Formats: sequence, structure tokens, C-alpha cells
Amino acid sequence: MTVQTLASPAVVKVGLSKFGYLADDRIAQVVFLADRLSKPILVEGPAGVGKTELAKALAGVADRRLIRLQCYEGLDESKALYEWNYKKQLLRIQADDGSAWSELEDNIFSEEFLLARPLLEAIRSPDPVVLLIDEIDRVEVETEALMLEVLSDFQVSIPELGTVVAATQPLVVLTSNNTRDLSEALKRRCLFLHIGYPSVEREKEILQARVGELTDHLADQVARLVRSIRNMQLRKPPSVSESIDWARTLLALGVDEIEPETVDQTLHVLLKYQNDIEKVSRDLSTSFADPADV
Amino acid sequence: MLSLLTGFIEELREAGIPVSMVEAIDAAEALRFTDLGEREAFKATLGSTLVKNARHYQAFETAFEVYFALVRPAPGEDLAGVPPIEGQGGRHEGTGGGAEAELASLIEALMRALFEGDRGL
Repeated sequence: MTVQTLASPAVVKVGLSKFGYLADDRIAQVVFLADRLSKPILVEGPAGVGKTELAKALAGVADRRLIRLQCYEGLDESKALYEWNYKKQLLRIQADDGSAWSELEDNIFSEEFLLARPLLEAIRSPDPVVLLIDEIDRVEVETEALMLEVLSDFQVSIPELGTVVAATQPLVVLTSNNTRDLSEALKRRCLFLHIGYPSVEREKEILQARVGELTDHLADQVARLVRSIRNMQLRKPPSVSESIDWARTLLALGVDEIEPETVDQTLHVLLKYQNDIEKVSRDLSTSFADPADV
Repeated sequence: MLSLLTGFIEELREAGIPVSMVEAIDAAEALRFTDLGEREAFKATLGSTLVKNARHYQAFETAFEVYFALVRPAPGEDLAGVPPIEGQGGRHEGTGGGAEAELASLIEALMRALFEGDRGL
């Protein structure tokens, strides 16, 4: 069953742009395929290029609720899948007035006492959803295996209750900052989408879409400068979200033309490490004489 | 198209990108939903199914540009920029050792079955 608003790659592209996401033909094609083939998308790339934004825009286009599982080191089954509400179960047992254990057991291991975490919530939802599993490279390989059952068969096994099968097909987006290699099984299951830093042209489009009153000239300058900054050896190159913030800052300061002093004063918006800021300050003052290479 | 795909997969393997049967079949399946005339879409379909690692992506892009190089149409043909369907894959079928040729024809047979099985839809 395919989503109407994802009827073709062209339709996907237009739809995503309505929700503030400028997709190129490649991204539009992969999103289209993910829907047609019912495969999850594994979006991989540096921080701040719009991986999460893609999932959010997709939820908008498909008119579905977005369920987000934010991954972190130490994320386990009880936080990703489900957990029994132990306190409530204990209360129920204490409040019981002499039922047989088997009856009581059935009672406390019922839906009422089940805390559904994002993955189970996505499976159980009567309306179809978009499931975003954010930064999956931060969990251990064992936890990945847990997620695999959900992603392979769209079902969750709960020993005491049985297997919960998805009533509807979620659209699944996983993001990774590529801090480690993901398991082969997981990668095999997904369509792979690498999103790198945008080209100067695309970044300019994104800036103009996100920062309304930005002049063409300023957008162009920002895009080119950020591009050349990214080409420097930095600890943390500026992300797209940081370049958007920088453009907003420049606009707020009433800047028409970027001068070296402007950059110096606002570099902290773009870069988050002092070493990087110092390095860029030094290098840019020379490259201002010779405009940033494209 | 099938021989074209298996030929391309061989190229990727030679470039050091591990492509398994599962991925090959995924690619064939995904091609059914791809406008073959759209180069970016075609590349996106192959890239998303055959490449699973960021480090291989560069090699994939290069291999793609080389393998599906835009061919000038000969007089009498009409479509420019569309890779020739039957011709190009052919040069790969005879090359390689016995095992490689077997694998290639096995993949081809599987994909043919996939394609033909769905003709009825």
C-alpha cells in the first residue's frame, strides 16, 4: 500500500519542499523507493546536514505522526521497545484479594500494564506513522539486533503477551553520523542514502528558503565562505544548520556585504571549537584577498 | 537490462565494493520502480541498493560514470543519453573465470525470474 502523496519522485520532491526540505533527484528517488518497496531508509552523513529534517518533512508530506526514537549509548530494550509497569503491577498484586496466581498473572501481564516505547508504539499505532530512529550509530551492536526484528518483520515479540504485528506499515528512517560501522544485517535491510554537505548552489537555495529576507548576494557569499571553511582541516566543520544560523545572525546585524571583521565577530555562530575559530580567523584573512574557491 | 546490471555489479566488485546476491536482487527489484531515462534517479536506485557504506560511495560514483557513460547515438538511433540496453553488458559475460561467469548467470536467472514473475501485475 503506497502513500498517495509519494506517488512519484517528482511528487515527492514538491511535497518535501512544501515542508521546508529541498530534496534533490537522488533523495526524492530513494524516498519514493522506500515507500514502494517498504524498506527503511538509512540516512548517513555528517552532523547537521538535514538527516532528521528529512524524516520530519516526510512525516508532513505523508500526513503521518512522527514517532522518534533518539538513540544513545546504553539504550536498551526497556527504553526502545517496551517495559512492564512494575509499580502498577506491584500495586495490583497487593490490592488483590485472593485470586488464583494464573488469573492474576494474566491480569498483570496485559496491555494495561505495558509501557510502549517508540518502537512498539510505532508498530501498534492504528494510523500509519513515520518512525525515526535517530543516530543509531550511538547504540551498541546488541541493541541494533533488537531493532532488527522490528525492521525486518514489522513485529515485536513480547514473551508474556505474544507477538504484536503491525496493523499498518510505518515509513522508517534511520539516521547515522557514521561514528561506527553498522551491522551488515541492518544495512542489508535498508536503502542507503548518503547525504553530504550540499554544493554551493544547493546551500544557497537552502539558505534562501530558510532565511526569508536574505539577499541573493549575501546568500551567495555565505554559501561560498562556508564551503571554503569546510575545506579546511577543522575539528568540527560547520553544518548546514550552523550556516543557516550564521545567515540569520548576519541578517539581524544588518550586514549587506561580508567583511573580514564581520566574520571575526560572528564566527562563533558557525564554529563551536575555539581552535577552529582561531584557525579560520587566521586563514580567512589571507583568502579574503583571493575569493573562496568553489 | 539484466545483463547490464550484472555487468555493472562485476565492475563494482572489481572496484572493491562488496555486492552480495541480496543487494543484487534488491537492485533488480528497485529498478522496476525507476524511470530508466532519468539518470539521477537511475543512479540513486543503484546507489541505495548496491552500496551500503559511505566509504564505498565515491568508488560507486566513479564506476557509475564510467560504466554508464553517455553514449553518442549512432545515425539512425533516436535517444541521446540513454545507455544502450543490450549491447554494453555483453562484453562482460564472456570475461572472468568460470566461477564469476556462473555467479553472474545465476544472478541473471534469479532476476529474470523476479521480473517475469511480476509481469502479471
